[in-house]
Amino acid sequence: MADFDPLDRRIRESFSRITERADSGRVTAAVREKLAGEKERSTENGMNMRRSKKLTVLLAAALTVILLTTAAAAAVIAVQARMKIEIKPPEPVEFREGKEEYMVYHDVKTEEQTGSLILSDEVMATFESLNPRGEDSTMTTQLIDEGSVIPFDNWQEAADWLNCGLMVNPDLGTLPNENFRLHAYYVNGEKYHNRSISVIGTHSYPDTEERVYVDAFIPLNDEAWEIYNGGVAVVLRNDLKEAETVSDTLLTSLGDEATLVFTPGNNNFWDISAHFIHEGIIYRISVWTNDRAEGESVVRRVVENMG
Amino acid sequence: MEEGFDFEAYLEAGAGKLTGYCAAIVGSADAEDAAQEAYLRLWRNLDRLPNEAAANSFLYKTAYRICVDLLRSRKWFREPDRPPAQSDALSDGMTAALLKLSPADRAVVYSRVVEEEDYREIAARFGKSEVWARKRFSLARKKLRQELEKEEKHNGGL
Repeated sequence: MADFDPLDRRIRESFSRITERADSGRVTAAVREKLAGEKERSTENGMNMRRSKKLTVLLAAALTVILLTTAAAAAVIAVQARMKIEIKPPEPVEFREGKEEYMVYHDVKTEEQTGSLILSDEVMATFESLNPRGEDSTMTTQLIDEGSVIPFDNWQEAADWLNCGLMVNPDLGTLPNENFRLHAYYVNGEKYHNRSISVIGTHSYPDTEERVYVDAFIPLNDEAWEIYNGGVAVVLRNDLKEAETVSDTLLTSLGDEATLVFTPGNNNFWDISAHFIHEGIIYRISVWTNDRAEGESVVRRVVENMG
Repeated sequence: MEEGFDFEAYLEAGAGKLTGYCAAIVGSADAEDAAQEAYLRLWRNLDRLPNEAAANSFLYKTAYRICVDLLRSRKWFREPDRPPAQSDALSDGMTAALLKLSPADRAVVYSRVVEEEDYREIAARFGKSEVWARKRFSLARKKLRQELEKEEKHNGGL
């Protein structure tokens, strides 16, 4: 790589200064010495350490959650909107391998919505270089192919790159959980011409089947808002004909009204989620856990600390 | 590991590069310890790795994690005790800007600009996609430019 770019030249010079005093000769000598010692020992010391994947870790971290807002985006049309969530009774669906399961729809309605967000050309060009999804129906939470998403390490990184006023939660993004995934994908609807970006972060805890899920939906045009009004689906995996969903309200520190929804699932698990809108972005924070009180505490604390 | 893999030769050939990579992330003072530990962990895991490409990926991912753990444990990028070489003000500004980057960003910028690695290789070191590597590099360069502009404005205002 030639030094045509003065920035690169300066980067090289600085790194040269930063790294010049590290001596690889000492590294090879030390490794050889230690390996000689290790080879003499017949047993290997297993050093794999497993990180705790308990929701309690999240709870501890959530106590210190501070949510920051990024600088206002250059081209954001600020919108004021309220969200209303209507609960529908569970519907039987044939979901997987012919097995009948039940799905509960949180029928999300946005009111007084008048605008949409505009992302930079550079950001949109990157999204359009992927495989945009052609969703014309409701939001879903299914896993997404690698080739159709942009991965992020944490919420701050996503907010910096999108530059559209996305609220971030650094603590959620840096929990010690190897199963954390954060990515954004682009929807370019075929039927209704809806365009949107969804940023989704998921912490999954395979040992306990608990899950924490944060979704930010960024509508890029009015059709996207209309599509969002189709609802949020929560899949329940066994017989829940009698299940009911209850809701409550709470406020973020910025005064956005959030709707808290409790949906019972199988094996005494609950989906506890909060939905709200801030500056044209729709947020959903959801905890899937068998401890309703703890789950509610996490969701409430996250929402109430937003600001 | 595939037959014919010679750990000694692999160590000899790559130690300089890995030590530089670690120094870029964690500073010269701890780079040697980090690189050493990464090689030892690689050696212990050779049975699980099918070929040299997998070994490379493992080595760099492990080195990165060790560096990040070191940074977390002492919360700071550490330089050796003796003073740094003489430098001009512009380069010092860049050094400060580089140290403000996250460890991952610093590693990506170092790999791309100094080692001239392609995005696929950089992505492999982190177990991520090429798109991720491109985006990281572009974000990190943007941050560097912003930091330098801030500093130039500040210096101009004095």
